[in-house]
Amino acid sequence: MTTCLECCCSNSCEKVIELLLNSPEPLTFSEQEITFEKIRPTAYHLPPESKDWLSVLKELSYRILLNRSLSLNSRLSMFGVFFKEITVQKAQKQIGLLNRIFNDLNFAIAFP
Amino acid sequence: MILEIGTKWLNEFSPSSKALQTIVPKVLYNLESVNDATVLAKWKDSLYERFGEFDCWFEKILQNHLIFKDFPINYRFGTYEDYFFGIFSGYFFAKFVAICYMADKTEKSDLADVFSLLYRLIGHTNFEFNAYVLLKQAGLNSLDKIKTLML
Repeated sequence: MTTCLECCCSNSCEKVIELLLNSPEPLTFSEQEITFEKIRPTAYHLPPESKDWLSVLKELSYRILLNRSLSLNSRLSMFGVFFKEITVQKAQKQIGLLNRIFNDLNFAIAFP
Repeated sequence: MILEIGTKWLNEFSPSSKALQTIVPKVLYNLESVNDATVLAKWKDSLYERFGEFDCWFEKILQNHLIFKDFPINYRFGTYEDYFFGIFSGYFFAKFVAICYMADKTEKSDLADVFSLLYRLIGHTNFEFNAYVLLKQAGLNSLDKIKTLML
C-alpha cells in the first residue's frame, strides 16, 4: 500500500462540482485509508528543508485563499502580492522570511 | 481588455479541447452582441444575484484544483510570481467563461456543467503555463496590469 498526505477528486467531474456547489462551507479533509491497486500516487523526493518550506507556503497560501472577510478578487490580488514578494525577497527555503512577508501583507490590509 | 483577452483565449484553446468546444459556440454567440465590458459587469452582477454563494463555491473549486495539482510542489514553472500568473489565468478564464455562458441561464446544473468542462482543460492540460505565456505576449506582465482582468 502506498500512502500520501492529500488527495481529492478532479473538478472535471460534474458530480464533484455539484458537491462543491452544494454548500458554502469551506473544504475540509478527512483521514482515511485508500488502497491504490493500479494507479500509484505521485511520490516526491524533497530535502527536509524544502518540504518544510513548501508546507508553510501551502498553509499560508490557503489562509489567503480562504479568508472570507475579503472578496475573492481581493484574495487573488493578495495571493499575487504574496508570491511576488517571495520572488523579490528571494524567500525560498526561508520559513522566517516567508512568515514575515505574510504578516506584513496582513498588516498592510488591516491598516491600509 | 477583458473582452479581447477572453475571446482570444476561447479561440486559442478550443481547437485542442473537446470539452471547451462544447461550450464555446454558446459563449461566442452571447458575446456577439457585446461591445464593452459593462455588459460583462451586468452579467456578473446578475450571476451573483442568482447565486449569492458564488464566491464561496468558486473558492472551493479553486482550492480543490490546487489540491488536485499538488500545489505548491507540482507543475510549478518560472519564479513564484510567474507561477501566480498561471494560477490567476485559470481563475480569470473560468470566471469569464462561466459569466458569459450563464448570461441567459438560471440553473445551478448549468453552472456545474460549465465548470466541469472548463476544468477538463485547466486541470488536465498545461493550461496554466500556456495562459501565462499568452498573458506575457499581451503585455500583461505585472500585478497592476492583470488587475484589468478582474471580473
